[in-house]
Amino acid sequence: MATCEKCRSFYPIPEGEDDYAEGKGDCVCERKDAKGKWWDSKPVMGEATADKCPDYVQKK
Amino acid sequence: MAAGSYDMIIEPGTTKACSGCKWGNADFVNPLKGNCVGAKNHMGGIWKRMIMDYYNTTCGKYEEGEVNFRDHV
Amino acid sequence: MATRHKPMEYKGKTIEFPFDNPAEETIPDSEVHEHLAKPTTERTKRLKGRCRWKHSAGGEFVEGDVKAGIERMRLITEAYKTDTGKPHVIRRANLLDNLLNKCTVIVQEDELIVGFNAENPNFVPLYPEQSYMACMDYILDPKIAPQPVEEAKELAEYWIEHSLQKKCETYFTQHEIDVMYSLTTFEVPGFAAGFNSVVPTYETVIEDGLLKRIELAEHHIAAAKEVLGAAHWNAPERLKLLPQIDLWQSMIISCKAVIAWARRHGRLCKIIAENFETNPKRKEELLKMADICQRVPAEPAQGLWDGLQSKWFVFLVLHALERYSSGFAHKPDKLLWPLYKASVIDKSFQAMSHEDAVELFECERLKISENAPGKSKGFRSVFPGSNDLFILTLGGLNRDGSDGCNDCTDAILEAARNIRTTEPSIAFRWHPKGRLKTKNLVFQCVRDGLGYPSIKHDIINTQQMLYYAQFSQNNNGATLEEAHDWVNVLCMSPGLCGRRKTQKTRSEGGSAIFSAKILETTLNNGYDWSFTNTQLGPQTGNVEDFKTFEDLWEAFREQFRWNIDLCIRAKDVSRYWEIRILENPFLSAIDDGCMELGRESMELSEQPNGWHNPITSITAANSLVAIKKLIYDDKKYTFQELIKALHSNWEGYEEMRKDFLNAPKWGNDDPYADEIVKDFFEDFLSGEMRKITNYSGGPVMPVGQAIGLYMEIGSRTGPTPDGRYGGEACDDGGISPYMGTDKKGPTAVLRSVSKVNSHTQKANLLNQRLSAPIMRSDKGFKIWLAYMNTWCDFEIDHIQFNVVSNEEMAAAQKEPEKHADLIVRVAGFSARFVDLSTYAQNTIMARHEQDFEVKDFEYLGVEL
Repeated sequence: MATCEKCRSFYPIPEGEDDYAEGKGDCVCERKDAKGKWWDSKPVMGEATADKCPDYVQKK
Repeated sequence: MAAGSYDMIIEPGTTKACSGCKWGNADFVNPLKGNCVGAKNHMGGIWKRMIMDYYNTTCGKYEEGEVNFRDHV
Repeated sequence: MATRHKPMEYKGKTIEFPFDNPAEETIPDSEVHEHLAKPTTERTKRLKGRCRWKHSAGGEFVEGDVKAGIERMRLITEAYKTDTGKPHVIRRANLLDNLLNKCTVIVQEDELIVGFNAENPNFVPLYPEQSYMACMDYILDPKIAPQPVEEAKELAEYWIEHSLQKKCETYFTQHEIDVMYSLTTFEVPGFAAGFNSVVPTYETVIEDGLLKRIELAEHHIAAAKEVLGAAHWNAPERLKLLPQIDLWQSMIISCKAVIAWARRHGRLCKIIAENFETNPKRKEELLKMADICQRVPAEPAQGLWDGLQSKWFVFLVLHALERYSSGFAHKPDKLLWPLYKASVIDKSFQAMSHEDAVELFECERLKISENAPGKSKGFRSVFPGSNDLFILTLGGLNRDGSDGCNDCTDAILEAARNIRTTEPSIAFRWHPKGRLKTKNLVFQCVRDGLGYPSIKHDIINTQQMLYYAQFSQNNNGATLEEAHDWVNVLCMSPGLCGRRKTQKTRSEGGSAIFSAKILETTLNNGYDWSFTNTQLGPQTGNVEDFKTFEDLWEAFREQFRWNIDLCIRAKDVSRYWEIRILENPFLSAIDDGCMELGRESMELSEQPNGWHNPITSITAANSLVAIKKLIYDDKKYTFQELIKALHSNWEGYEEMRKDFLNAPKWGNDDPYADEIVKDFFEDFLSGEMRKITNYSGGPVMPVGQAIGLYMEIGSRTGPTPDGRYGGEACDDGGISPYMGTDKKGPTAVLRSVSKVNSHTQKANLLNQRLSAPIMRSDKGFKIWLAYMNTWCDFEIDHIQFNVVSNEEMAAAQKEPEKHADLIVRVAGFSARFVDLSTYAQNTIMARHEQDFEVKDFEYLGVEL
């Protein structure tokens, strides 16, 4: 089963950060449109299911 | 009502309601009302009229389509 | 080819007017503005090229990708639903906390200042807690609806019962609501339109940092709890500490949330640097940005880059995330001067050159250009060609009376001149002490057709702050020193800036009333025949029965009184409910008054600043002049004849219309017209407003201006006795002569305007269009400076300029794609000409281009 922590976009939040929680990470994706590139970050729990996530790519 | 007449009439269920007309805009505050930008004076200024019932009012100038932003106020 | 101004004989010499930039001799008039942009760096050139403009035109977004986001609605609703039972101010803090904790954060390529107000850089956020109608406006439009739209509809409908709009409506009769929502005699109240403004106290964040603010709140809570637990319980004294404790607690929650959210941006910058970015220079930049976001706004800013990032985070929270507010009110040359000095002059922190500083300010301008709220369609329509109102203020005097202009002022002006964006607009506080170097930069921006800076009279407005201070309900209004710290709250009206006492809501001052439409209803016994076909105002009599001009004046006064009373009542009812359901814990946390006194930002008002904007006043005033002359003095026509002519839109009455059109007009130093208009502004507009006492205990004063409403209301107003046809635009600002009627030269306009006592007004917008060949000549600055010094001596509150030829505007109408950089001054804001409707473009072209003649040079005492 695909979970967020197995995805290449998942970056665990280091301990000591204000929003740290065990298993929590930033889901960071690169986006692009006709105007240019940007990166967005959303908080996710590593154990959350990612089966339906269009951005899921398993980490190598 | 003569074709081309600007006189607004309430006609519940009309298929030519102001809400579908090119010259109709939903009211800024209450989208059930509207205003008409179809009437231009001879200097080109747009003289708006309020439409109390946007979905059930019609007039002889009904026209489908969209108004380019250049033709708004 | 370029048109040079013709030579003139002046004081025995032939004066030529070659272009200040010799290269312009060969640039055709029709494309001057396309050659003026000179971004300071390749980066800002790229950023401008890919800017995600959020301008609207005809109420529609110009760029097709702009849509409403759903994230803010979703996250605030989630928090509010689960957080019942807590004190409301804590719920509001938790709402912000949930939003900042879970929202998407964005970093775009190339940018130096990070942070955005929605989940996608093309989106705008929505505010269902303020106005459900403004939300529905998006939900019903498939081009811009938030997705998924069914969820958005549910979220918006949840908030109906909890919204400010619903709370306030119950205090008005149905007739009053119909009038308020019709956008005819006055602007839709803020509780329904969702439009708001704020003057943030950036100073406390830049100087203290949020960790210090948390410490202060914790200290106050500890002290309060000690009092609560002290011997001999005293309920009347101590129970009032409970809501204060709640407020301080909410401040802590909100400050911690903002710190964590800012640091999320830092973390993202680091992740991009370590995992995505391949350019070593950009990697290094991103790591610096990561460090900045880690430190600010938690800690005080230490350098200029810190300052701009800290300010940007605070701006986003206060203008877009905690609550929607229009504006960019602050005085950056004062706020950032110590940081500019540290970085550029002392080079002790974030060492950089002056050009680096200019680049940063250009970046900030582009961030503002990409930023827009989810305003209602109505408000998108009345700021055509712009995305919202963003006005910063520069210049003036410091608290110690020294010149407030410095190298940071210059950097901000150079950035504006170089990058050429419509936002943010700039207000410059003109004082005789202001240094010439900075005034020359102001001139260059004006000459280049940016339409800003608009110029405000520093002395008049500083005195006004002291006038309002006397009404302070806690005897803590502006001191002599504090009165020097003022900014434009939005387009025109001054208000304090600093660590406390600033204007926190538009319910205190703002919103508009439409004199021309009220005059129209006066002429029809309170009835609106030209737009709504309903009874709008009270019945004040039939015009045929007005035997004297004074009878008309008094009937008009009664109509105006009825309308202005309703306007201010609506604002204060809104204020009542904003105190109870739209608290702003973060705004309160960073205000020294709120912190010290434990009083929330909506509730505390130390410095009254009541105002309301009469718009379309010159159309009304010119109409009064024409009526007095032709009906009462010359007795050439009767009122009956006039009413028939107006109801026929002058058709069949062309000669009569010519007479009314040619009656004396404001702006020509004509004693007949000017006496009536002076009375209208002083006794009528100001006199009636000042009879009102608002929430803060002070009077309300008039701010004459226009935004885009001079066009919208023009389209809702039938023909008027000044000779206007039905649907034509009304006058384009405050005290500005009607387009094309100021024919006696630029100094005659100043003489007319100077007759209205500025101290009876809060502000009055004066639009002038100056000759492009004169302004672009090598004598332009000298002439303009003399003109401005005269303006200053006349004690006129304000002035702003268009400097653009009709040739260029006509060319832009034909081929808009070739004129993207043509900017014009509309009213209290500037806009890209090609983003305006034809109706709006024609009103700019109709403004009389004032040329300077020998008599003007003599009057101004210019040496050429």
